[in-house]
Amino acid sequence: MSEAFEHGEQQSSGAPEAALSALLDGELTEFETRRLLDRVAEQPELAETWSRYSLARTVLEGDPCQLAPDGFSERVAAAIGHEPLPSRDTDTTDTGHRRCWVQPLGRVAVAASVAVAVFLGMELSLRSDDTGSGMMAGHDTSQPETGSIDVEAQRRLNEYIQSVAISGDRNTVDDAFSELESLRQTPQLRPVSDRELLPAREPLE
Amino acid sequence: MAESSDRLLVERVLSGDNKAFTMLVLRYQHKVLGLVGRYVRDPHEAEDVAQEAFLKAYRSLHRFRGDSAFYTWLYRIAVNTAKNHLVARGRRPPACDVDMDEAQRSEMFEALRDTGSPDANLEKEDLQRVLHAAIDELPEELKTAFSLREFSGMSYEDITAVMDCPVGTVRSRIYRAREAIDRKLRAALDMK
Repeated sequence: MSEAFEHGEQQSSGAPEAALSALLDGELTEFETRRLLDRVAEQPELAETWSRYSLARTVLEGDPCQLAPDGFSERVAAAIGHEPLPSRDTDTTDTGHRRCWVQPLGRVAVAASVAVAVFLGMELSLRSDDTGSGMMAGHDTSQPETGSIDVEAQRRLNEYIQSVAISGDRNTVDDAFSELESLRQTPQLRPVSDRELLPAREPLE
Repeated sequence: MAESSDRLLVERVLSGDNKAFTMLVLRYQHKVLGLVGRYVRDPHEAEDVAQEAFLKAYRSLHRFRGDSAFYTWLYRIAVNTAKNHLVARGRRPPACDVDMDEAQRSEMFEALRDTGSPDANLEKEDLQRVLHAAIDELPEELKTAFSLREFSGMSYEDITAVMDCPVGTVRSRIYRAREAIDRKLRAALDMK
C-alpha cells in the first residue's frame, strides 16, 4: 500500500468524513446518523464533501446528472424554512382523512359510554337515598323496578354529555344524544334500582 | 443499503430535524437537476423546477411510506413537477409516462441519456473519466473494497467475508478510497 494511504485505520474511520462515507453506503446506525447531522451543522465543509460523494456515486452509476449551481441546497433549505414541519400528524391521505372523522367520533363514543355509566350511577345513588331503609327491612328483590327516570338526573346527564362532547360539531353531539336515547330503549340498559344490583341477603333472624 | 440511510434521514426529518432534509437535497440535487434538465432545457427554469420538486417532496414527506426507494418516490415528484411546468408554459411534455416500474424507468433513462444538452453530456463524461482514473490509481486493497461496494453493491459485512478482514477495516478502506477519489473530483470541479 502506498505511503499516501497509510493512515491509521482507527483514526481515519473515526473522522466525520468516514461517517459520511458509511452513511452513503447505508452502514450508519441511527445514533451515528444523529451525531453526524449535528457535526454537519457545525462544519459546512462536511455538507460539501457529502455532496461530492453523492455526485461521484451518481456519475459512476451513469444516471443523468447535472452539476448543481452554487447555493442550490441553501435556497431549498431557505424555502423549506418557511414551511410547516412535515410530520405524520399532518397526514392528509385517505388514512389521514379517516382519522379526521374517526377521532372525534371515538371521543363522542367514549363520552356516551361514560355518560351511560354516570347515568346508571346517579340512578343508583338517588334511589338508594329513597329506598335504603326499606331494603334493610327485607324488601322483595326478585322483581326489577322499572320506575320513571328522574328529571334532575336527566338534566345533569345532558349537561355532562354537552361538556364532554364540546370538541365535536353540532351534528356529532346530536348523533350522540340520539345514540344514547336508542340505548335507553334497549331492555339491557333500562334504569335499574340498587336492590337489583345487590346480592340477595339472608333474612335477619 | 443506500435506501436504508435515506429512510433514516426521512425519519429524522419527520422528527423535526430539517438538517436531514438538506442532506437528502445534497445527495440528490445533481440527479434531480439532470432529470429535470431533460424536460426543461433552460438551466434557470430547470433549477426553479428542481427546487419546486424538492419543496413538494418536503411537503408530502409524511406520505413516504418506504415501500419504494426514496429516490424512486422523489423521481416521480420531479418528473410530474417538470411536466406540470411545461403544461403551465403551454408546452407539451414528453409522451413517456411517469408511472412505470424500475425496468421501464431504466429504459427511459437510456432514452433520455442522449437527449441531454451537449454541455451536460460532456460534463458527465469528463467526470466519469476523472473518477475512473482515480479508481485505477487506488492501492489494490482500497480498490477492491471500493469496487465491491460501489459496483457490486455488496454490504460491508459481505465484503468482510470476501476480503477476510474486520468490518472496521472494510469501512476504513472504503472511506480512504472515497477520500482519494474525492480529492481528484474536487480538483476537476475547481477547474470548471
